[in-house]
Amino acid sequence: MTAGRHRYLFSPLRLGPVTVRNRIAFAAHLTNYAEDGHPTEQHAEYYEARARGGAGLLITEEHSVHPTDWPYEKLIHGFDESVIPGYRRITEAVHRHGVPIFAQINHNGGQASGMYSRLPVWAPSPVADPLFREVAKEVDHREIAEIVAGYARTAEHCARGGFDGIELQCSHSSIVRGFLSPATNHRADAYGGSLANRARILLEIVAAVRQAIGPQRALGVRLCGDELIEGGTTIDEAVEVARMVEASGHVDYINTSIGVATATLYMIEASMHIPPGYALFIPSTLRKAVDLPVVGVGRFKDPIQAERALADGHCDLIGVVRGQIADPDFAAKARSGHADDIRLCLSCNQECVGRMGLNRWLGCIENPRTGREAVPLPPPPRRGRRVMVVGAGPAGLQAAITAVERGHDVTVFERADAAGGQVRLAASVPNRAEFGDLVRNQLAECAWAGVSVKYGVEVDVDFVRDEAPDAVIVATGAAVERPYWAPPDATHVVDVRQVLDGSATPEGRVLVVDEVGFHHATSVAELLADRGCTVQIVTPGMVVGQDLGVTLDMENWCVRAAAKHITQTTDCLVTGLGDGTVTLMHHPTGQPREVAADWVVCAVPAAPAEQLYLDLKALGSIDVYRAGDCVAPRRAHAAVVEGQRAAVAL
Amino acid sequence: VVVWDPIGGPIAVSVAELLAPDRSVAFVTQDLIVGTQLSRSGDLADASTRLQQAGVVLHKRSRLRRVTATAVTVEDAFTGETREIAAAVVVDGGHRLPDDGLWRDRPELPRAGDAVAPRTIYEAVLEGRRAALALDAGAA
Repeated sequence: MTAGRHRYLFSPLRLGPVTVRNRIAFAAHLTNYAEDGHPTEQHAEYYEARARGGAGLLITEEHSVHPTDWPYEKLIHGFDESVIPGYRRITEAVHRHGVPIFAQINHNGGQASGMYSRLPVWAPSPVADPLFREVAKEVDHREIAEIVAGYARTAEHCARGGFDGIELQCSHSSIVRGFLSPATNHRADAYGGSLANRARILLEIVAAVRQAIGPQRALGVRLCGDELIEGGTTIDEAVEVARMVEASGHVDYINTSIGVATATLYMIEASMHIPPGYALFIPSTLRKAVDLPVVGVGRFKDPIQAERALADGHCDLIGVVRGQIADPDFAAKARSGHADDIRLCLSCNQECVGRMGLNRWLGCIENPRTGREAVPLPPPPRRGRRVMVVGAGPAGLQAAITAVERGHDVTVFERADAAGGQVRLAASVPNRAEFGDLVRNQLAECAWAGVSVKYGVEVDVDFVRDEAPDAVIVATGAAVERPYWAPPDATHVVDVRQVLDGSATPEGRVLVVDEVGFHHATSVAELLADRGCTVQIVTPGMVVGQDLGVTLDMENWCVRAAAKHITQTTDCLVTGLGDGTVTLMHHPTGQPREVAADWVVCAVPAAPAEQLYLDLKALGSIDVYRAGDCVAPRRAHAAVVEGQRAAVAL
Repeated sequence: VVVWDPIGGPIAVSVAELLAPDRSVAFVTQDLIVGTQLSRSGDLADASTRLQQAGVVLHKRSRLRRVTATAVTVEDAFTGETREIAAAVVVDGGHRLPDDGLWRDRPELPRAGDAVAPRTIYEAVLEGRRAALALDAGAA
């Protein structure tokens, strides 16, 4: 094993009493793996996989320090002593690989509601959070002391559970953040007003936690460098707080963050639309102000990028979260000189961030094993079958990868001259290009595993008969479906796929019809606006691109759309076409409207391309499976999951 | 009349519905959807439909920035562009503060409901019951 070209990334670092073997941290993030407030076997397996994969440091998701803090269902109740056996299961699993693991502890303060706790939420001042919109109870001095004691008690539970350190989340969703920020701290007592007063609770917590964990464990503080809200904390105050934290003499490192989780989350877990390294100014500034090691975060997805940030002196550790969600072996592959084999994160936010917002367990669009580490696949009942996969989209490629891993001999046949299916088209929009890494990663895995991919082959029943495979997995995708109001001779009405593959080139006034609610309509609208078209999007929904909120793309889509003069019309159905016009119906009132349009571009539900599957099934003599859009057209995660399932079913 | 709703709950929506038959009503919210929290009670789409059928003009993704005697100034939540809406009256549908003056004079006494933190009827009933039970516990 060699650090190769990553000299800085694979050098050790001391964090107080703990030494990490490299600079890659699996920083804290929600997983929704907890059950009834307790850590689970899934936590242990999930973290162990990243320790086995070579990470230098693991920091768990937050553990609550007080019963008044319960903003989402699957939060670990660290204040309850009964969590300790689960902690031990996690730390023992991680320590088997020689990797230290810290626990992040927190009270979310006013960034919560009482929905789960049935208690008033506690905050420095009665300010309603912009997301939860519940007025908080202003904590008194007795309650502040109770919070500080809760931190100490929870830290002690973590120490007894075997954690090597504690991280205090004071950055993007925390009562400490609430006290630090002038936007949410309106107090006039010793805990409000001056920055020294606003930081008082933080320093009390730091002292109490250090006393609870002793000198043998590390203590870190995560601070927000810019809340990105009106009247909030900015980098100058963050520097001063970092200096106070260092001066306490109790703290071993500083972690960083940007944004407020309940106001500007789209900048904390930025999608591919935000440039990598966008938050690097925060650790860079703090590192100049303090001597403590500083962690940098913010869409680090490539070891070379991480190496550069370290070499340039911006930070001492790099938080690689989504990169290791997608590929648990991120660090080991980089260290061994196989960085090209890393399954790069797409920053699509669909199955990680997106599932968190939906109260589901954390997964990954391109790694069907993420979130299922504790649920092993059944062993293959037989090996060595000759498997034909039809279609080299995400479903077909995943089926091929899994089938080869399970000992089968796999060939993929693709009709087009390139792999990827609709992913390839989606990624052709400039600001969606990283989505194409899904296919690049799958092709790399295929090449590494020895899957043969043949292009330009139209597969039909006769072809299958001639090839005589032992089994066929059909992954032929979806076909364009024209809406009922668009007759075949209406050549100015096209699908988004026709725009993306270049077979249609709309000009002038373009009406984009969004009946899917995701990137299909919005990305093509942007593409056409960039080409000089005057673009209007219409949707029967209440919001254009309604699912963009789930992936944290909504805010920046709205900003870009306004800059590109794209108009958005909601609550309207297309009911017919006129001469250079489109007739809409505003369904809440039933009122018709007419819109002038030279072209109409449809982002509407597609139809499964299932004929080959049905023909093969009808023969009755072929072992045939199907996966992805040819079952029912959905999104890429469904294709990947079903590709794996089909291969397992072999 | 301008109804300003930074919360997205039932109060501002119902006030707008109440006023709409007799007045020209503009509804201003920073959200992309009017009454966004009504999804919890299943009234999200229905409320939006009722408001539009009643002729209420919806100003979505707009933050209230200034009020004068004849107009309000709103700012686009995404672009920062401002515009004026004529208004003789502005109804503030925003958050409230606890009316806790009595408790502050006697902080040793229990309190319940909005006097702790203004929320919904559910919390008021729950905390009222808890306060009463605490009295029983004290007597025991």
